[in-house]
Amino acid sequence: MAKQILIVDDSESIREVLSFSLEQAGYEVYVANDGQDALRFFDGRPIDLLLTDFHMPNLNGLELIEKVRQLDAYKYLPMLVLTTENQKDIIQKAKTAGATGWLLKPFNTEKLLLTLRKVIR
Amino acid sequence: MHSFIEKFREEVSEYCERLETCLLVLESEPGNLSVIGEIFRIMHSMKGSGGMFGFDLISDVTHDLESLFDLFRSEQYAIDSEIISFTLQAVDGIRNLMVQEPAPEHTVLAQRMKQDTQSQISRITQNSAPNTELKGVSESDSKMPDSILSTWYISFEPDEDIFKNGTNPIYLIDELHALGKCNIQIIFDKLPSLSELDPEKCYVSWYLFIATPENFDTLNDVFIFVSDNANIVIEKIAEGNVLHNEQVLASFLNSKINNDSWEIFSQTPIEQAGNTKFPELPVTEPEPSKSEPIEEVSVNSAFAPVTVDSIRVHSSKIDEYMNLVSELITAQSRLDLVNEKLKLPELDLITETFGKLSRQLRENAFDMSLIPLQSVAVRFKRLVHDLSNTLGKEVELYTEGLETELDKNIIEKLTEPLLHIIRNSMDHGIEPKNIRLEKGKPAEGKISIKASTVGSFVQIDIEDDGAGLNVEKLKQKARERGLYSDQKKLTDDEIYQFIFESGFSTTTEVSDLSGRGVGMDVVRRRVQEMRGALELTTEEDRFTRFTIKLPLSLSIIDGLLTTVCGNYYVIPTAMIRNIHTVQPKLLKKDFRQVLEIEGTQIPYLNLREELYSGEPFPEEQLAIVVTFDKHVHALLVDEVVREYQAVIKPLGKLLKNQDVFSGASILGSGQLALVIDTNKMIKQYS
Repeated sequence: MAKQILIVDDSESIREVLSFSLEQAGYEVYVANDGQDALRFFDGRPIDLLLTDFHMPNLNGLELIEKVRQLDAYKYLPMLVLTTENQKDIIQKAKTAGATGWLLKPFNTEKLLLTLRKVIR
Repeated sequence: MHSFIEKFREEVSEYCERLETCLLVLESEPGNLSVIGEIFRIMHSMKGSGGMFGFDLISDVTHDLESLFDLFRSEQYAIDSEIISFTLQAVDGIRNLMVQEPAPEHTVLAQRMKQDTQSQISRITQNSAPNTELKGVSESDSKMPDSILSTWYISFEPDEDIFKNGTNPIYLIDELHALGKCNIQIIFDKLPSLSELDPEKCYVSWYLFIATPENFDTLNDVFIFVSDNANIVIEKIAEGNVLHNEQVLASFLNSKINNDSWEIFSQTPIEQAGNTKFPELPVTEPEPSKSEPIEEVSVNSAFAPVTVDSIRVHSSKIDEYMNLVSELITAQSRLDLVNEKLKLPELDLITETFGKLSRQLRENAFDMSLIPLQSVAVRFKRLVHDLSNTLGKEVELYTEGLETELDKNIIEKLTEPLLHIIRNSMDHGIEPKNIRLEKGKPAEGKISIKASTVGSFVQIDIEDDGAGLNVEKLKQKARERGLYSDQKKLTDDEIYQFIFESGFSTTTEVSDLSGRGVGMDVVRRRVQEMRGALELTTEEDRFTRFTIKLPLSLSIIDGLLTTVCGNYYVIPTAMIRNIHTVQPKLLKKDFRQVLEIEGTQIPYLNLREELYSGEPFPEEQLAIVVTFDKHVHALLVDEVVREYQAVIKPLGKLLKNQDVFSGASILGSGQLALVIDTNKMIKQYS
């Protein structure tokens, strides 16, 4: 079965380009507009990876990751945060929140898939 | 990729509009942190997406703007009106920078915007030192392979709780495997007995030799996510592939023995070293993501469909949909015709259903292409805000009924005229503060925009409480231009119409605002092109009001199909009051053509006479009474065929120069019907 990835980003263009690349690569993709919107996916159903933007309205990426990590069913879910800042403190914050890793914008498909391969197969 | 770029462009325009809205809110509530946060986020999104889609200038510029708004997020610094005006300008700049291959002027603009932003930042932080933030770290991995392999030693010893943040260490080993030939060893010595084993912990570590063209950074990058949760050692052993050279590997490991816990290697690795096959990786990792909670998920709740309230569709698709629906309606009237001829009961039923469905589909298509006026409201607000500043007039914009929906094509065409009317009102209508006070008006001027639906029309009133139009001034100006002489007896209303003449302006100096090449004549023409009407009401020193009436849609209208001399004409139903039978022979032939219906005299036009002069009149004709301005007027036709949904097609080039017919429609039989613009026709022929 194809691996299922949830993309959370408030920018439609990013959502689209991610969905497109990931679907091409054979993943099954779900999207949400922001952290709040994404939370409804975490009702126990299996997801293989969460890929979330950092800055978002309502619930930002770190808050989302923190919340999801506390849910028993997603204790070990790989979660990547999308960010533009290559700053130690942001990345540290993300890791403390429970993120598995991060992906720096701008990225191309190659970099995206390479990063993904670090956390899912 | 192309469609993503289009999407990105749309998104940037949307972002810009949202920014404008936010900034205008900030103007009244400069401390509104959630709005500031939103601005920051929008800038951030544009920065990120801009870089993704190759709009580097946007990315560059928004990077600095983001830093600027970051300052205000902390409440440490306060937003002032200069920042708001500056950012509004920057928004315009961003719109101009939406190019992928920047011309020199774009680069210059971006450069200037960046400098300006930096100086705003310095101004705000009261610090002359410009923000020396590093530009985004360039991701130049310099992936030029060395073409020569090197052999590396890597040891990877994850922390026990490495699973806790979702990492599966085995994937990292896999990743190394992809970089070159590996010889991998797993160390199980920390593995406790089964009874003590905690499946949520990682007890395994790895060491390996790899022959790869990659450099240290690339190898290190493999472990980038786990650098804090694992002991990682990466060392270069030798140039070239020495995986087969047991001696080199052995001596390297021996040199490691002296270091703390590496004794274990001295026993086994060397005989393994020659074996370039990967030892089967034992499945020691618990498979946490597949543990019990998943069993609780019932099959039907898993991945319940995601409900989406709205989707975005490119407007060209809607246009195409409308086009297809109009084709369908043409086809349907053809079916009606066939049905009439054949008179088959079964076909009758189908025709009826088909007719009903296509009507519903038409309604639906209409509905889909309607968008609220609200969507352009930001531009009105923006204009009033900008002009208030440049003109030094305080003006409040009052809006009502902007949820009124109109065909998107109409909205697109309407925006410029509306903006021009507002510009005019700000510039010529609303008086300067001191004059207003002299006249006993409040210092703050008011412009109101009210929209409402009236029948199949939408009415938009734009009213200012300014100086109104001065009849004497208009007369004077009209005299100068030879449009008016005192002998002509014109009503005030007729004199007001002069402002719609091309090049007519009562202000002596052309200000840079209203003098943008779009005059009121163009505004009126635009409105008329959409089969709308533009009216003007004014009272000196009190107000000026422009009333725009527009049809709800442009492409399909309800009409009455009539014939004149055997040819078909469509009269829009919206215009029709009532229909009467008349006998042309009995009609008075005097200077003013008038017919009397139910005691009232109604001027009329006999289309047979106007369009086919010389043809004899039939015994009986029908007078179709239509609304004309505030009066009624009758059009005489030979026959009324039936009601008809006219799909209006534009007329060809040869008929461009007339405006009596707004278009043509193809009947089910393939014949042509001309759609009459009753207002124009009555004006032209009477």
